[in-house]
Amino acid sequence: MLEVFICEDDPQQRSQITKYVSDYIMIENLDMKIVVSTGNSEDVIDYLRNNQVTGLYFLDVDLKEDKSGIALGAEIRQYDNQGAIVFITTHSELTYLTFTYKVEAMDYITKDKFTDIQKRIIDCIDTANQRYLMNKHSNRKVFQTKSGDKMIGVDYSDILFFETSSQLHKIILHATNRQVEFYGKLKDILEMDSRFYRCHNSYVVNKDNIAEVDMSKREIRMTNGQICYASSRFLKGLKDIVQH
Amino acid sequence: MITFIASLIQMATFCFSIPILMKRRIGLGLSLIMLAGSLTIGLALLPLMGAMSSLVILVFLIGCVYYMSRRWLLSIIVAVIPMILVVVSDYVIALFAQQVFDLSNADMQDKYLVSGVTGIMLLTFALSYLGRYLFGTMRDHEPFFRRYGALLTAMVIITLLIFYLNIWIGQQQGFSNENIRANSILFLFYFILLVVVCVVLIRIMMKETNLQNKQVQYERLTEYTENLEQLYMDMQKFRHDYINILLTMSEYIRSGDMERLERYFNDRIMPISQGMQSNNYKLGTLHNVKLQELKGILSSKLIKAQELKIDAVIEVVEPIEQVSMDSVQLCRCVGILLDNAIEEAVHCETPSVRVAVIKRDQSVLIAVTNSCRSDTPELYRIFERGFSTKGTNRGLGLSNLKEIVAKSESTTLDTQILNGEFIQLLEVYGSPVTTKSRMTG
Repeated sequence: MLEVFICEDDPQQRSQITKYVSDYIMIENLDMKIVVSTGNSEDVIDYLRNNQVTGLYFLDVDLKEDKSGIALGAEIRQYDNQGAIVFITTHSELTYLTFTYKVEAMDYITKDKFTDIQKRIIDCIDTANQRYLMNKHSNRKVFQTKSGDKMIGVDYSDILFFETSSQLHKIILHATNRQVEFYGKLKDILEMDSRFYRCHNSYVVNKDNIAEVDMSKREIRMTNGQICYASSRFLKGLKDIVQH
Repeated sequence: MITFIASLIQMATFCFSIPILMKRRIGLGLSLIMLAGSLTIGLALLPLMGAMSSLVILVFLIGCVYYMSRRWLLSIIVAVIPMILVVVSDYVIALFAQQVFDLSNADMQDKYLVSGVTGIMLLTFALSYLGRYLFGTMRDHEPFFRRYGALLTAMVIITLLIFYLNIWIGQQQGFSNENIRANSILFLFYFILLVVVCVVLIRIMMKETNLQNKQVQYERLTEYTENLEQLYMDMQKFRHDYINILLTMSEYIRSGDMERLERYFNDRIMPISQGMQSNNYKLGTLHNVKLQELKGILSSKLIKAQELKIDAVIEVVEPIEQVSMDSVQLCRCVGILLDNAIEEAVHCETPSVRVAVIKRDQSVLIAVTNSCRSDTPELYRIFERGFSTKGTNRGLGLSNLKEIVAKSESTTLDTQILNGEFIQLLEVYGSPVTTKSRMTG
């Protein structure tokens, strides 16, 4: 079950939001429940400390206490890293990226457009619910790795190859439409999926995305045209793969 | 046999000083090729040309290093310096042997060849580490290297030529003890002089670059201050208008003229609230950036973006006091990120550039996003050296950025194209990180 938290310090707005949420849950008969609706961020943290949950959080950014909603979001992440966080804010323009990258917020709702709020809340509930259900019985495989504070997730089907950087322990993941660096070891990555093949001391290639192999130049052309390198030691194994 | 071992050690000295100097590992394959190649050349030419065969080996080594680094000046310098070091070490050892153990040059050539050559090797490696320190500081300052690289190359080549000219003359005279001693002292002093001149030169030039950086930074901050003053003036104007507005409104209310009140509200008051969202306010949170250099570059680039009619916004929610990266490098990275974002955004229908500086538990994240055209080329092409959507001779930016990040131990770059947005995340960690990967289904 997805548990809903609401933290908004204006009592009137809080009851309004709570009503929107509970109405929608009832009408659609969703597998959700409002467990905390409060003006005090401590209540949310207390609940999380005592219960293991996957939550949907509606948080006001400007709480009338020392802690901002964003800080609260970051704290929530320590207990619930799968949960969906939605910020409710007055200054729409200025904090979108911070929401996304500081706490991996799912969405944000602006109070400036008063009429929209209900619709936006319903949108968020739908998205969070879909995401929750998909995670529960999912067959889309995602490569995930944690690097420092950051969680990196890339679909296996998008991965082209991994390359070591000149800096020790740093790896560059090349995917269609994304290049991302993280800390790890090629050896560990190789063991994560059978699609991966060590084609060079410094490269691990995703076999599914190979377009063709140039044996004489020892180059692998990927489906998007990018070139990955192979060394003669691993070339023979590669030949077998391409022929099958 | 002895000659072979001695040559092997000598060639190993040449080949392995190069990676020491470059501060970079070269593959086993390449080292073996370098070693075998120079050994073959050395053994083949030594009987014919004597000491001059080293110059042929030098050309070969330059070729090898160029194959690895693809940069001419760099390869010439890192191949020539070990030669100079070997010559200096050679003469120092010879001098040492003469003075302390009273061995003649002939003795050295016959009986103690291997130990002599080993001594040369050790001394050369020690000098290489010293050289790496000097050379490393120079290479860290890319513009510096670009400007004075040619001069430096000329200097080391001339030094080497002078050394070999002397050796050649010595060879003609049959390497008498006096000749060796004279040469040793000459070389040693010349070498020390060269090092001192280099150090002084580097010092002066570093100072100059620092001064230039300060100047640029000052100009940027001035621009920012002007921007703030403008903002302050706007506020003043607004405060002045505010009272008048209230007076007018109260007058309409008192007379109950709802129609004119509404018109007045729509015509006069709504535009003001629109003005609140205007460009100047979008840089408001920049005050949270406490690093002057970073603030300077962010403000100057974003103001430039706004002048180009780009919707440029910055978000800095928490105060940023520290980013664990050399400030010159950091500003270069941020400059490249923003230049790139602005260049691309300008071509869009609704151009926007959005920047955020976000403090996280272990790191500071600089996020730059911009709107991009739908026909953006494949991501990997954008990073290629010399690639640019604007024809040749541009597009060094992103490949330079990648190079800087690759050199840095605690910085990572994440680039993606998502829903018509180009997103670049530069993450600077407080300390180097190691982590485990895991898979979820």
